[in-house]
Amino acid sequence: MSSDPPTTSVFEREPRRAVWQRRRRAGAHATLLAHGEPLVWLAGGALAVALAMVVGLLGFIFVQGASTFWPAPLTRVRMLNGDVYLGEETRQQSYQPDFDVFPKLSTDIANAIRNELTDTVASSSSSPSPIPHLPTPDPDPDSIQAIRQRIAQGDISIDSAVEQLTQKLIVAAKAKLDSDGLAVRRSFRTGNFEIAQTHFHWLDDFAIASQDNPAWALVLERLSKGRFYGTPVAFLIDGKSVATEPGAVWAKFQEYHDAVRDRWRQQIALERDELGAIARADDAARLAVVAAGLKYGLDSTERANALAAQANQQAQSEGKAAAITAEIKRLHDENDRYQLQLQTADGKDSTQYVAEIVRAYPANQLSTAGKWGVYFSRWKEFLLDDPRNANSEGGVFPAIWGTIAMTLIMTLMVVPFGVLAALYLREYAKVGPITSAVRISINNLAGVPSVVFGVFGLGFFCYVLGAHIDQIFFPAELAEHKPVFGTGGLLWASLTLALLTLPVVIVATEEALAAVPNSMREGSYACGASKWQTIRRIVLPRALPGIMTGAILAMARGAGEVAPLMLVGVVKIAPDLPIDRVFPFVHLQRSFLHLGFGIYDLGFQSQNSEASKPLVFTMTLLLIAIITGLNVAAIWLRNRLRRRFLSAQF
Amino acid sequence: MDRVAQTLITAAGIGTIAAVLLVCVFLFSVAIPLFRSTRVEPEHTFAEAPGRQSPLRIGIDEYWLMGWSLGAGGQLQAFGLSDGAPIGKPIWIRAEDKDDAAALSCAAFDPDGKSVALGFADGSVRLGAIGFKTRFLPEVPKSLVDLDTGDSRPYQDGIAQRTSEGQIRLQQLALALSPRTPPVSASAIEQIDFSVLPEGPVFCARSADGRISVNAVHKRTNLLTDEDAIDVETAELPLPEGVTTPPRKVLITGTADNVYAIWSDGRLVRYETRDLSHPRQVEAIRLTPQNDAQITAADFLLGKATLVTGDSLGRVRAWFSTKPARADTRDGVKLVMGHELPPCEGPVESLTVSSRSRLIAVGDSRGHVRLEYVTSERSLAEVKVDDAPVRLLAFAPKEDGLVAATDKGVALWSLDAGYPEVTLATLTRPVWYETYNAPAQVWQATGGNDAFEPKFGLWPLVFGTLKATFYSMLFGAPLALLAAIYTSEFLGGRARARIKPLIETMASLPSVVLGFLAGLVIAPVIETIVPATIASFFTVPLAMLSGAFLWQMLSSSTAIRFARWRFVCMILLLPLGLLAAYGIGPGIERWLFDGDLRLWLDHQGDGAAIGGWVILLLPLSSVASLLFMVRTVHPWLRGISGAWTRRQAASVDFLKFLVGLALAVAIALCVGMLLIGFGFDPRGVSRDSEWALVGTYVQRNAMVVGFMMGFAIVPLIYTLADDALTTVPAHLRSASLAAGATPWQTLTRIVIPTAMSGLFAAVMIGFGRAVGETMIVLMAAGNTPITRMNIFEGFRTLSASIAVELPEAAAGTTHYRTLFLAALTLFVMTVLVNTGAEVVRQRFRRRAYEL
Repeated sequence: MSSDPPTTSVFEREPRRAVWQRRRRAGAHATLLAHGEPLVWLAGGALAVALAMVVGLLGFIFVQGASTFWPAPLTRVRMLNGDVYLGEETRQQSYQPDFDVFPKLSTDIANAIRNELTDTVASSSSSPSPIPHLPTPDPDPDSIQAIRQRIAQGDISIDSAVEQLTQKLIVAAKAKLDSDGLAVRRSFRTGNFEIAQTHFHWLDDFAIASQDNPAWALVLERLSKGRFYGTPVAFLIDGKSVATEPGAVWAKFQEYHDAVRDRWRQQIALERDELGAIARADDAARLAVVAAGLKYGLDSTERANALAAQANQQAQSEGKAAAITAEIKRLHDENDRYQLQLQTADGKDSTQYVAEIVRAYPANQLSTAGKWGVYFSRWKEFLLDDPRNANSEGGVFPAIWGTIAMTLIMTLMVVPFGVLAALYLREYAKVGPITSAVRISINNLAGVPSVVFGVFGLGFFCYVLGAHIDQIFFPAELAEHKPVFGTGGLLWASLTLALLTLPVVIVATEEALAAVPNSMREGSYACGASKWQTIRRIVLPRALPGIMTGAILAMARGAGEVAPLMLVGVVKIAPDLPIDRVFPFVHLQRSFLHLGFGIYDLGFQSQNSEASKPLVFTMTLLLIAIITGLNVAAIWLRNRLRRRFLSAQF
Repeated sequence: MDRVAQTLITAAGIGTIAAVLLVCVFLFSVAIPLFRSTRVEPEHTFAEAPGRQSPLRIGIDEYWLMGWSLGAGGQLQAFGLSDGAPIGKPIWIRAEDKDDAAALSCAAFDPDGKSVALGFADGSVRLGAIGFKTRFLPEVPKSLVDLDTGDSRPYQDGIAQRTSEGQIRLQQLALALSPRTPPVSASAIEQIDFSVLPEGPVFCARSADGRISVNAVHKRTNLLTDEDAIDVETAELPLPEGVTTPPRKVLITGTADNVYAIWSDGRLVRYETRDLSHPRQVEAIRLTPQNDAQITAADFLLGKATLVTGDSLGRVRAWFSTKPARADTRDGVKLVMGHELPPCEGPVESLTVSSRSRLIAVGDSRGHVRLEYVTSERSLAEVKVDDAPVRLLAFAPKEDGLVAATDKGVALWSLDAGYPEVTLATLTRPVWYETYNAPAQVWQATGGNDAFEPKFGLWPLVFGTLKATFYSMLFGAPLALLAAIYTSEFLGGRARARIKPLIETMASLPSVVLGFLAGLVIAPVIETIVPATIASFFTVPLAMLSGAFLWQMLSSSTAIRFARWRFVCMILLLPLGLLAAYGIGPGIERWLFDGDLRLWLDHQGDGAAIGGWVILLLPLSSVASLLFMVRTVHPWLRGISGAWTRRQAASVDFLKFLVGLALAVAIALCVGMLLIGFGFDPRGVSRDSEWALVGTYVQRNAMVVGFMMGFAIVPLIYTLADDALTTVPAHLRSASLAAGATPWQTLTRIVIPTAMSGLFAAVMIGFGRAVGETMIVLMAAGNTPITRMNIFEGFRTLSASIAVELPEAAAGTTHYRTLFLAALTLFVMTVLVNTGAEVVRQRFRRRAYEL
């Protein structure tokens, strides 16, 4: 070994020898140094950090994503200044309050107290109206009743009473700050967007007078405008109240809600399927006219025929559409009869259509089973339903569907070509500088940023290939500036990702092919098999685990990519699924929704990103679950098939 | 069968590989046209200008069918573009629609080529537009039935053309003028210019008696009669002292807040006219600083912010206002010469600006017409009309044609300007954009209005990409390498089999997830604990080191017995380090930065610069302190420690560590003071310092990106590095250990030197990944294209720009092609890095194989 130049250089460099010589008279300290303990610990620390990063991230996403749908209790918070809020607590933080918070607060409190006192003094009504801002244990000399009495007796003027009380409350509030002057505040999801114009409120702990969990506070999840929080006041049928007790209202609501939702679903199905089919037929007839005009001229008989067909079609569809619209209107009118009247925490009345309510539950009365019920019903909606309220609530079924469809089509395209390319490289091409150059460039391609593939996909597939396809097959659509393939869509997105994942499949297949022992090939040739027979019967079956692994890894990579998709066909809202029940079932030209893009869009482009953040976490969890599932499947498959072939090896 | 399979596989294989190469070729093919040259082709010439008078202005329609010319006497004549034959009767433009009304005396057109202000001999003004109206005839008239697709023919004072869809499109001259204003001067108006503001038009005029006025036009509706009345608010601008001749040209800027009066001798006086009741002269400069030429042409570019002048020596210059820090003018604005374009051969005779870009055409007295692009200072093409001076030039509305008129006739060229705003120089070097104080490298592709000038400087994006990569690698590469070293050399087989796949799962996390977490979860949290975050970069390693020194105190037998718990201790130390950081963070802030780190970073707080220096210098000073220890203290200790027990030696070592730490802090303090003494501040001189490593804190910043990108590159580097380390043949290790070396000595002297190239390749591949990462930077970097190294500020990368802007860029535009160029840049960057890594890796493999 000493004759081997690189090894000698490792062992016999000049300084090394010097170290050895010095070590001979070295003591305990040198022994210690030789173990390099501190640096080993630094390396171990790095590993610990890396581990903590993975575990922390996955754990964080799991906890956040899985807890999104758990129904939280509803808290009613009365503030010192008289405001009342009802909502779900979402998070809390400590912060440095502004310097003018307390002067402002004291004015607010003073106003609130003065209103309260003057009100009661002026009316002197005996009804003990609930005083929201003051905790009033009776013997307390500062209770409203006591002060009212003292004012009535003339012991104290209103002004000084207000001042005293305010002073006292402010001192108490200030005492709630910690030693650094930091205050704690909590964010409450208070919903009622149409009334409050916001979904969230930050409430300072020091400014809270009291909080409780009212028994009959309801959470309403609505089709639009987000959640509504309130207590039920009445259930209305045709505008007439049929129940007013909260319990009775709730019973009525449960009685009618399912039927109303069923009608609503029928209505949506009619709108989407039946009316959609009519609109599609109309569109096709109109495009046929345009196409005939383009092909045969404006005054050709073909165009006249198409025009006649269009008129015919329109006449037919008008009749059909009228019937369907009437049915939709009937359902709609029937649903509109049922309304739920609620009162918000600050005493405003609001009437909600039952048809608008997706789900409602009295949050503070739910049993554990009831909570799990709400939890799973939300998961079901999330996985199987369409989104609502500008994608910020409801389900992500179209996104899941789009992700799956795109990934499948991508796999169908990438695997055959990747395997053929690998077969060519490994079995057919002559070994030489060219194949190794090709191999390096394929390796290289694996390192090319995915967004570059997106650029290529947009420029080449959409604007060059797609534009040509449109010119040849869809001139009518093109004339109306509605390109079919000349814009992003499922096909182009899948192709782009296929190109992106091609190196993964080629490299995996090549490795698998290389792992097949040459002895087996030679044995096959010796039995008189041709090259193709050898490949098909001997090589490919044995390489199959590797190929499958490559395919699944490609799927995992493709499912998680977003950047290229943003350029070639992913959208925020797509009216139709890319694969559905309408002929020809697979609509390669359609743009589609995607889970990964949904995360980006909902997290960054949505106006109400705070409210949709929990949903984004759940989508994240889902996406990671899909991808991890694919990866685990790849490993499992590889191990299983490998074991099978190992045992079969001779 | 066999042959079929062979052909098929070969074809598919080669096809697949060709498709891969297509990516590169296609990116090139889209980006390269950016640099192609301008094409100018002669189309028509006709001997005489239509209207038989020297025209003030010629306009042509966007379909290249007809034109109009406005004669000096107010005669507006439409003509066919192919032969110059008049179409319809001329329209005479007068102050009122009466034959005896005052005649036209001057006209000024907006850079859009349509809006016009007309001055009349009686001192009144009319505003309006001259253009074409296009309509499709509902039915084909008899006289046009035989018209073939694409052909055209005069019809009803216009020109009709059959479109490719079979319809008849009729183009007619359209003139829309407001009623005349009350006279703004007693004599004829000889010079006029105008701008239309949301409140109404403002025009400046110079009358025959030499007076300059600026006038705001208000339209009032009489409530009783319901008639519109026009009144004009006029302010007279005083001529500068000692000047008696009237200016050759008066111009008003697009925002109507400045009026420029230009004299032939090169004098320019700028008036500030924001407040019409107090117009004032604010600046006087010379457009010919050497006083060697006469100004012969001057006009505003699109947007009316840049003034282009031509002089009698053929020079063309562009001037615009800047706001330098110290301006000697009364309103703090200074007019500067931003560009000097390649000169013409003869004196500049005429000049016209495009309605779409900063393209100009300059005609000289010898009949040459030169196309130039102002911002890129590029001369695009030159054509010759004939030998006579070029009196008049005009662009076609789509910038696809050029008209030139001399005394001898009119010539038309079709024009394809290409992408004149982009050159290699504008992409990579600072460019002086209008109203900027100095040349700058700017990326700003879209703007609010049509007059916005897109700025395509790739440097800010490349800088952002490199910045992201730098900070990510700074965090990720050491972490991954150290973790890989520990995994391969110190971790037991079973722990290894569990931990390695766990870290590799990190690689499969979609980057959109990382980006979401970085931008919406991590960034807001870190924002509230900046000092603690910074402190944790020191406390965590310190916790590990302290752990190591304490571990050394165990006796050898105990240490060996508990060896398997060593890693558990390390894991437990991590939260301890983080807790310590959280605990001392506020203290550091109070102690070093006067209680508010972010204010200090923003150049506002009272904190001294020393705190920043200490933190920045601490890593370096630690290394210095370590070197000092190794050079001086270790040999000394080695000499005297002969009789010590292990525990004694370990205690001394711990003491040495503490002393070294103190020494590191002391060095950092001293050097920091020294640097402050020399006037260096870690935050840079001002907030705009480019190379300062710290500065103003922004929520989405390079630190957050660096941390989150760690999730993307750590598993990659980790796996490759671990592979490289495990590929080192076992017999080398065994030999080293058998010779009495400790595992640590084996690692540093045998394993790492052997695996060096593999480790290097791993880092390179991580670098390649970081360069192209899109979603993380898109979501967590704030996307402002600034070029500052500050770790607490954001940036915009090539990849993020592509992802955000490409869907909005129309195919074939400059923006689109520039983004392709950006993609190509990314492609080339990653291919270079990856090929380098691949070559190194091949060599490493070969060497490992030889061993």
